[in-house]
Amino acid sequence: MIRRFLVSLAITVLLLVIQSTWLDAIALLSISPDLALLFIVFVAFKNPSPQGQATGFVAGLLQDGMSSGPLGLNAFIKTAVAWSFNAFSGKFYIDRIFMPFLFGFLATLAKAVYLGALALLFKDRLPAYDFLSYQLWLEAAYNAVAAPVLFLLLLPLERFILPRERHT
Amino acid sequence: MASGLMLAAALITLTVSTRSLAGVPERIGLTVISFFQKGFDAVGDFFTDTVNSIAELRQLQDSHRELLARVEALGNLERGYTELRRENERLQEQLGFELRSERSLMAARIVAKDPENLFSTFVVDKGSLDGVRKNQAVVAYQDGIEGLVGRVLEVGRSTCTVVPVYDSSSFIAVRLERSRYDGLATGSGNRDDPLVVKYIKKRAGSEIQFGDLVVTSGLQSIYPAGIVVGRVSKLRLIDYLTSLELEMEPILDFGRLEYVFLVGGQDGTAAEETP
Repeated sequence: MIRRFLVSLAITVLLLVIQSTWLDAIALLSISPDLALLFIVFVAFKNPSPQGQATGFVAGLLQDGMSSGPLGLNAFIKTAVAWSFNAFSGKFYIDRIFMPFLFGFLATLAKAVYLGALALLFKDRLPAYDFLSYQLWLEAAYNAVAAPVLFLLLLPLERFILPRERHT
Repeated sequence: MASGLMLAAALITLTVSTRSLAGVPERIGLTVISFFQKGFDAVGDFFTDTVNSIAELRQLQDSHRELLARVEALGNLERGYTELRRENERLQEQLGFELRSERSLMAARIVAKDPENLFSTFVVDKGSLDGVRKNQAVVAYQDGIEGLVGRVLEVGRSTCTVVPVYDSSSFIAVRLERSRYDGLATGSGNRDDPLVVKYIKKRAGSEIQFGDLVVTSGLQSIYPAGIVVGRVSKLRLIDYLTSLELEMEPILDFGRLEYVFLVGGQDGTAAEETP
């Protein structure tokens, strides 16, 4: 359990580093895919235990250290998104293309909704997505396209991050 | 039979006496043997040549492979050289700027950006060990112009986070360079969107032209005066407001930024920390 959590955490941190360095080269209008979020969604959906939430929380705290956002913002967002997808864990079958595509899109929307709720709660002291701006929809589309590729790349690593009975 | 023997004896005698057929056997032997010799020699040559050819072919293959590797290495070298030359030109340009500048500058390289798309900060490779302090102004040199990049937000040991002027949390005291009117610039949060300059007196409307340079005013600000921030791109005259609003395109292309300079104080030390 701890080993799987540590591996998940290491992969999330690796994806965060890639996100902040290499992905700028493929950014569209300064928007790049949120690979760490997609990975957390992957773990949360595939594993009914709260491993996704735990990974999201710790990785979110680390991201808060790297980001200019207030400490706890990403920890909350990633934990909340992981919880949302964990609620559907085992409820339906996930294919190779369509479901990851949908997950990528919905995860971005969930992130935007939780951020909006936090911005309301903290009286605009936090940034929030504008649901009418292209940034949110571009990021959602980018995450939707990136998710099937990332999920496919994660398949060989499943045995290190998921319990034995959950391997595909 | 006897006549045959006699004819043979006569011929032998004739031959001996005239010595006319002397050397014939040798010639015949030579001819026949040389025929075989030539044949064997040709066959030998064929095999030798074949073997030599194979060996040569192998040598040629080896040398071809070596040459290909060398060509590839030279190609890489040429590419590396071109890249180094370009980097050298860029660094020379930056160094020239650093030497020419009246301010105390510390060069730094951008190493990462904020992993979250909502935030526009980026990380440079200088930190507290290099003397960087919070709220230091950051400038860059692009196409011969010194432009304002932003300010230092957080300082680590060997890196620091810079918040750019287009971030929605950036507020910069600015001045229109030509007409000398003051205002306050703020970012929209996206590097592709223009900055907004507020609180410019309405009477300035007739004096402002598109393309006017906007510089830092240095008034109660962490930014030293006179650094170019952008150019006026749009003027908004809103009736119910007592002041004008301008849209301004940043002077720097943030998508091309690689190196920045952290601005020190007048005495060469870092800028004071501002709460």
